[in-house]
Amino acid sequence: MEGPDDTDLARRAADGNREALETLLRRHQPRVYSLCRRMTGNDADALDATQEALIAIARGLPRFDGRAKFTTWMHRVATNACLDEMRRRSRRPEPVDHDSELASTGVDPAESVTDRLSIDEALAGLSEDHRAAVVLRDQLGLDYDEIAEVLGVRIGTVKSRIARGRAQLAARLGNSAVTGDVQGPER
Amino acid sequence: MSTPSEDELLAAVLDGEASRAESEAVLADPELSARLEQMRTARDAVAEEVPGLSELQAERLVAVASRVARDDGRTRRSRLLPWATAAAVVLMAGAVTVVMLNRDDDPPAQTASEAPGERLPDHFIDEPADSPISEDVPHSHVDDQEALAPALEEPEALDHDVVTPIQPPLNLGSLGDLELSDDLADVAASAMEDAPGGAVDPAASACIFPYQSAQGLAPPVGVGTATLGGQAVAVGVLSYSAPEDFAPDANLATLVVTTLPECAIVLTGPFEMLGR
Repeated sequence: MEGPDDTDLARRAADGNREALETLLRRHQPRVYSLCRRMTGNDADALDATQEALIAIARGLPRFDGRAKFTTWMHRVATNACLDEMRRRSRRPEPVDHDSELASTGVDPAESVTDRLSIDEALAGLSEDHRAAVVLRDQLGLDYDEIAEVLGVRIGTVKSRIARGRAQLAARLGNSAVTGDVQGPER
Repeated sequence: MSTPSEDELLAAVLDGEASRAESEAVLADPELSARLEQMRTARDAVAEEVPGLSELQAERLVAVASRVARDDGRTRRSRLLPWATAAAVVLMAGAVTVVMLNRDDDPPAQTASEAPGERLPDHFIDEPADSPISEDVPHSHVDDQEALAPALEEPEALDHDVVTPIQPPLNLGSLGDLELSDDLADVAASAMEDAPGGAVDPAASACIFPYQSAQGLAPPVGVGTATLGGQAVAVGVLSYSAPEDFAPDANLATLVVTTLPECAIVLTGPFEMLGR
């Protein structure tokens, strides 16, 4: 990683250094968005969740004491912000237009519709606990120890959630490939 | 049917956490091996790289977060009006009035987006289409928060539980080909009364979206598209909240227009909603 390390940036940002804060946010925004995109399952909610997550990170920096890795702390804040956003969204009905969502990605729908819908909807069918563990592991590549720290659970729980989450995903994706019928989000 | 212990074994093999003997046992069992491949497919699907945000979008997110954090010490939390009459949608006059009161020394500028008979505060000015959006958008939004600050309550940490939930914006659809921003304001106001429904245009939503976050003070209540002076634009109708004791009968919205697909701001300005 180029430039100052995260902990140094976080300390300076907490002291009010705008440049440090924006460098830190800019550096980690792609991972936060990836996390939120997989957690929320669509572009618009992911954008909103990412905004909330970045705000939560920026505002929470004075409480970052440096005992954990910055990224661990950041992932915890971002995961919670994503979950909060998802819960807020789930409290109100919202029309879903998958064609429009796909059109916004710039990806050829002919190539991506099945895959995108399958993984997004399959993930949406998981419980929040399982989804978070799977996304942190498989999208962000965190190891079990760090996931346990991020989620505040024991490592055995992390292993169990990842295993069950992947098994459910495999079943949903396998079924959808045959029937084209994927169970909708748990909302 | 898999068992939890088998699932954990397969996950451990996938993650390289299983012993060599365990891995070999899985691969030697046709059923487990097949399920391992299914799980690998699922894992790879989750791991597939997520298309990132555009540089512009990313910069706007960072700028808004940075601005909100910096303003934490001086921005006070609004005692938001109940959103009760969701259909009524908009409360803007409070913000406008506070701005004018707070800027007595600062004569407001006359702008093209000014509604008849009104003088606008100076931050509701038309901006050139090539204005740097990373500055314009957050400033526009946060300045409104600053404008509200004197009437707000003591600062407190962000607490999602007390932030008033926002409703999804109405889909205003395509508002047509217009030459003047005032005409666009009229058309947008009419569209708010008779929105076609359905999901909003994602590109337009992405351009209007940043106003929605940052404490939820200015969520878009309607999003559409139009052509303004030959330029494809995203159109957002924003709802502002004002302290109840300050402007209890506030009912004005702000129109935000940004170019598509660059999201450069064209104008922001209040306009009176039709059919209160």
